[in-house]
Amino acid sequence: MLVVVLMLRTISSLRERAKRGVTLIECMAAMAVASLGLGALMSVNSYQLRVVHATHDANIASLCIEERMEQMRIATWKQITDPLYLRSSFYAAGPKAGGALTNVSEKIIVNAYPDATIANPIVVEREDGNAPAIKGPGPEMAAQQSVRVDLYLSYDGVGGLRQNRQTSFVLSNGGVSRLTLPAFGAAASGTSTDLASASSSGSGSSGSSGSSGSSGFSGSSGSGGSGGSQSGSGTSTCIANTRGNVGGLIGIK
Amino acid sequence: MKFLLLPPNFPRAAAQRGFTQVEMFVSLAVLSILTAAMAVGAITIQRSFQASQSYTQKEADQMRLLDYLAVDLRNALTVQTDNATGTIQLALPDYYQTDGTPREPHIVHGMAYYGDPSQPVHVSYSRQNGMLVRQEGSKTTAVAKDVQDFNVAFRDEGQVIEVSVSFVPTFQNSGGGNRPGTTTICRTLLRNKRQS
Repeated sequence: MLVVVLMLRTISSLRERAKRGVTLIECMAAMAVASLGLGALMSVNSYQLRVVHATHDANIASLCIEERMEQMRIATWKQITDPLYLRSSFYAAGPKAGGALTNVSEKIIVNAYPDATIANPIVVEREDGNAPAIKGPGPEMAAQQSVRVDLYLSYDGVGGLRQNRQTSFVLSNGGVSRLTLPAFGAAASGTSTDLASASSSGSGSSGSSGSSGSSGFSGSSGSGGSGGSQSGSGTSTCIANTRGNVGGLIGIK
Repeated sequence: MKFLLLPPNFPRAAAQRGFTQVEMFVSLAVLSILTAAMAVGAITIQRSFQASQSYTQKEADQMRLLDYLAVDLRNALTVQTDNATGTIQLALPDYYQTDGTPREPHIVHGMAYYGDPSQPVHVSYSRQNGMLVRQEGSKTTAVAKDVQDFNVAFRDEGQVIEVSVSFVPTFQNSGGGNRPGTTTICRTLLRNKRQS
């Protein structure tokens, strides 16, 4: 009984309050709360737009790095171990894919592979608006059999924060195979000599065609056969030897 | 409005006298402005979210298309591009057998061949019913859907193919020049194409 009376009183009180309406202060307080919610949504939206923009920039930067890697793959061994070529031709212009990026700087480091200590690296930098510069000549690099290439790209990201992309890959004079990459098995010195001779013909006749491609391929088909590599890698070795080198992607970050 | 400023012990009759017409107009005007601002803000946010979603989706389509093309271009023996229709046709070595297992190459005069060299695998990319499709023999794969506004252009540089893809972002007037910031370029070396 008591509960029923209390409920009736409460309902009656609410009815009276409902008839009274809301004061302007109550209304404004409600508006303020709603505005705060809307403001929070606005900030979330703004953050989301920044993320979209940053993602777009990151995609573009990856394509730029990829473009540089493709440039390296088409170059001959002589060219990729020549700092003058890297400065004057490789970095002659910014990456085509990078039109949407601002203040792009690039750097390439060519190290001997697998032992980077046996030769001084080639370092070439290109900063936005400045001419590319050779920071390390690496005169012994052309005599190496394999090199590790590190490509760096940085740009002004969202909010002016400097963003960096990097990739590394291995190029070998005569093609990457089990014989030139110790990680895939021990390199036999006799076969290395064969590869070197095969690749020297490839790099010597840079830009020439079927003949250099065939001679390069002869060397690599032998290496693929002896290494027992699968058909996929055999193909890439063949392709690479057409131009005297091959790239194997290690990673992008 | 006056009663808001009145002390609690103000006579009840005075507090219940109601609002004047001017007070009502002022309060209605204030409420209308606030409500309109909130409505506009809410709608704008919703549209912005939709635009962001659409942009992200299109960008993902763009990158997927470029990835598909790059993989095929790297293997391509020959490439034919047609910018008028946005079509590209490629001939690839027949790397795989019908059951999907890799085919062993055979070497002839230092050249590697897969399957019958006179019958390479033909792949084409074209636009069909608002989709960008990859056609390999009788097999059709939709690489990107709802991409009527995609503009795909090719530039054949012999050993390198440059592909540029752009789209019209939502809430932007369509037209040839209204694609700032959406153009993505991918340059791919044709590794299998013999240099001539």
